[in-house]
This record gives sequence, structure tokens and C-alpha cells, in this order.
Amino acid sequence: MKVEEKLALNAIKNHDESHIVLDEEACVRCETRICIRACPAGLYSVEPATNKVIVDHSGCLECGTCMVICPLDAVTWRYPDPGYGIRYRHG
Amino acid sequence: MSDGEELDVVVVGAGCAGLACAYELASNGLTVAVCERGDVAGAKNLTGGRLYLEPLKDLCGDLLEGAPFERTIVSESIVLTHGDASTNIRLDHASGEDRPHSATVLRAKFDQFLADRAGEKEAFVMGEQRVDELIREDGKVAGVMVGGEEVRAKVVVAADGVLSFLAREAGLRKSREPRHLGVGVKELIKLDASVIEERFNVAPGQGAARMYLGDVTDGLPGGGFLYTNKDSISIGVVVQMDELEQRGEEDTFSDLITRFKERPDVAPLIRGYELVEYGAHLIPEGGFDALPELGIPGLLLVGDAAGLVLNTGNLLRGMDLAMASGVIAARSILEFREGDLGSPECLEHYKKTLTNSFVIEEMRAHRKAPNILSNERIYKVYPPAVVDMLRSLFEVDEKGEGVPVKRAFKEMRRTVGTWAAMRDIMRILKL
Repeated sequence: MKVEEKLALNAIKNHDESHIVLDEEACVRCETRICIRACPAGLYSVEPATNKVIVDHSGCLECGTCMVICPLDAVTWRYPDPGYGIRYRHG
Repeated sequence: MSDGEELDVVVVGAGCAGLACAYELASNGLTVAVCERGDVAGAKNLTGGRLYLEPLKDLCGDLLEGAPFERTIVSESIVLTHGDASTNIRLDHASGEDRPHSATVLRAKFDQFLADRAGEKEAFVMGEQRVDELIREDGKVAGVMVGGEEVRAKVVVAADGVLSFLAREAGLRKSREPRHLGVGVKELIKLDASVIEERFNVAPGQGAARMYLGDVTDGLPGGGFLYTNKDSISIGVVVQMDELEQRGEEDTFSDLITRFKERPDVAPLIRGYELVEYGAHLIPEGGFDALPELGIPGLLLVGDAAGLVLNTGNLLRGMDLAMASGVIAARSILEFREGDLGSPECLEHYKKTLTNSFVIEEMRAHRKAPNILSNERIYKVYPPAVVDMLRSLFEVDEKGEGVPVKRAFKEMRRTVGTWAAMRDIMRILKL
């Protein structure tokens, strides 16, 4: 089962606007791109055309791993607006 | 809430620390509001997990009366894994219904219960209230800003979890360090209660806890876990965050859990399951030496926000420390109810009481644990060595020969290195 299929089972209300913003200049310089492997929801990827790291905030589990692990402090991360984001039905 | 009237206390975060605090305060007549960013209490919370009950008997006995526990744990096991084989140490005990020492919980249900209990005592627990910053006045914290509105209080309790933006804003912690955090990923899978009872050999209401070490995390510090709930199982892995860099490009967390579930010693336990939820959460595992300052005047940190988690390898405790710290903070605040709740003296009282309580005493006693548990040999060397040794003892080869015990031990000693093993054992015994 792919992670996207797992995420699709969660109760979540995605905001149009992302609560995760990347500092593109820093990401270009980044050698590890650790966010791609570290995000438990697999939201980070490389855009093939531009070779840029991109993040799709929808599906975010709000764990904060990307913000903490980023070696360049390039992830600006805040809690989604009230009423949005993951809602654990079991937790 | 925006009419400018000052509350006695505003608690940020409706998790188990914040709600235990609010319940204690409201039971004693203080005006308390709990601001929760999720729709309802528990909406953003995740546990493995189990709650140890004994430490909370005095502090939270009344609050936990009738709490929605999933199952009382009567079967514990640590499993060493290597390839398709494993060995385990297991304890089955009959602590039973009348004297449970720990129970599994699911946070959505559990936190909602705590919120209801706090509500009965007239604490205001409000969802969709994201606290954006602190209000500071005259050198102390005087409330919080929620969606552009001021919520004033004599003292603020930061129960805003492991990421605690409030602790950071208050300058109590610079930033979170990857080596002090575990990344936990969990699946909640449904199974009939009777199936769980049959497979884990437990009676209705009773349950099992399993910890897995070894190649479940590809030999990295961390482990797999499995806890039985009423009619579901919490299954997942925890990996120390700073070790993630060592993992392969293509290997995601989701793959790690999938492989874990496919293990021949796990798959039969969960066969026929239905996945219903996938979650992730950080765990502050830095221990005593990574503790932040516990507050500034007018702001007290509790629970995960204060880094109150104890992982000794055989015990993983967070929720009991969280609830205890919430009640201890509440009692310090109550000590000053006739005076100034936001005073430096109140903060000192909390620091002192918490430091002298089992919460920090236990963390201090196990201060070396995070270091010892970072030793990769525990995950990479010992599980394969022990499993291979046992395997050789129980096998007969094509020549019709088995391996003598003496040779099996000698082979294991060679793999682990006698002196290195002695050193590791000595370290672990000091825990």
C-alpha cells in the first residue's frame, strides 16, 4: 500500500494555502534533501523539470519532522489555520 | 473571551498534560480556559501507546475514574529480530482488571474524556483556538493572542506539545535538535476483539504490548511497537531523527511499517486487518540533559512541551509524566491563589516541586539512557548475533550434525566481540 493511499484514509481538511513554505534559494544549495526521506507522509519530492524540492502540504500529519530536520533552516512551518489540517479520529 | 476580563489561568493545548492541569485548577475554583488548535481535544494528538497508571493514582485518581482505557496490559515482550527469524523475552502477568498497572489508550477518545471531565468542573475547553503568541507585560507573561484577540490570564500553562512554539518564543529553547527527537509513525488497524484475544492469548479487557528491536528499523536506533486496543491494534516504528540521514533514498517510513507488518512473526498476528488511520508524531527523547528551563514568570511548561519523556529501552513513558506535571503545575499555581500567580516565586515553586517529584527524579536517574540507547550495536549487532546463535542450536545440518552449545556461544562471542559486549552490558546495567 502506497503512502498516498494511507493518507487518503485520514480525516483531513486541506487549506488552499500551504502552512509549509520553503526557502527556495536555500533548497537549491541543499546537498542532503533529507526532507524527502524524512517526511512520514512523503510530501516532499523533486520537481523533475526544474530539479527543485517541492512540498505538497495536503495530507500533512503535522509532526514537524521537516522543520526540525532541515539542516539549512529553510522550512517555515506553522500550525494550519483553525478548522484545517489533520483530525485524528483515533490517535 | 475577548471582553477583556482576565482569567486566572489559560492553558494552551488540550492534551493530557493541559487537561489534567485544567481539571485540577477548575476543581479548586480557579477560572480556566483551555485553548486547543484542533476542532476538539485530541484531534491533533497521537500515542503509541500506553499509559502507566500507578504513578497517577494520587495525582489523577479522581480524574481517571471511568476513563476509556482500551485494554489492561498483561503481556509484555521485547522481540529481537533478524531477517525472517526472531527471539523474544516475554512476561505474562495477571495484574488483571482490579490492579492494572498500565493500559492502552487512543487519544481522540481519551483526551475527549479528559476534556469532558474538566468541563464538568467548569473549565472552558475550546477547540479551533490557535495560540499565535504570548502577551508580555512588565517582564512577565500576561496572556496569549488567539486569532488576533487578546486572552488575558494571570498565568499561562504551555501544554502545546513536543513542538512547543511557546517555549521557543519565550526563549526557553533555541530549537529542537534532531538527536533529541524520535520520529514515530503509526498505523491504526482494525481487528475484532475476539480475534485479538485469541491471537494474543488474553482475556476480554486484557491486552499485550510488544517491542521489536533489530532490522525492523534497518538496525538504526529505534524500534517497532505493537499495542492491542479494544478492537484495533496500534502498530508502528520509532526512529531517532538524526539517524534518518543514514537511510536509503527509496526507503520511506511507510515502507518501513509495511515491511514490519509483513514479518513472519508479525503478519499472522494482524492477518485480516483493515487500516483505518495513518499518523506521525515526534517524541522528545533527549532525556534529563535535554530538559529546557521550565518556564518564565507567568508561563509554566508541562508535558511534551517541557520534554518530559522517559525512554529506558524497556519503558517508554510520556503520558503519565505529562499528566503528573500538569497536576503539579496546577498545585503550584493554587499555592499562590491569594497572591500573584504569575510571580517568579510561583514559577520557582513549580520548578522545585517538579524537580523533587518522580517525574524529574526518574528522568535524572536515567539521564544516561538516551546516550546508551543511541549505541547502534544494540540494534545492529546483538539481535542478529543472538538470533543466529539460537538458530544454530535448534538446527541439524545435512550431515546429521547439530552445533554444540559451546561452539554456538563461541561463534556469538566472536561476532559481538567479547570486550565490546562486556562494555555494552556494563553500560546497560548502569541504567
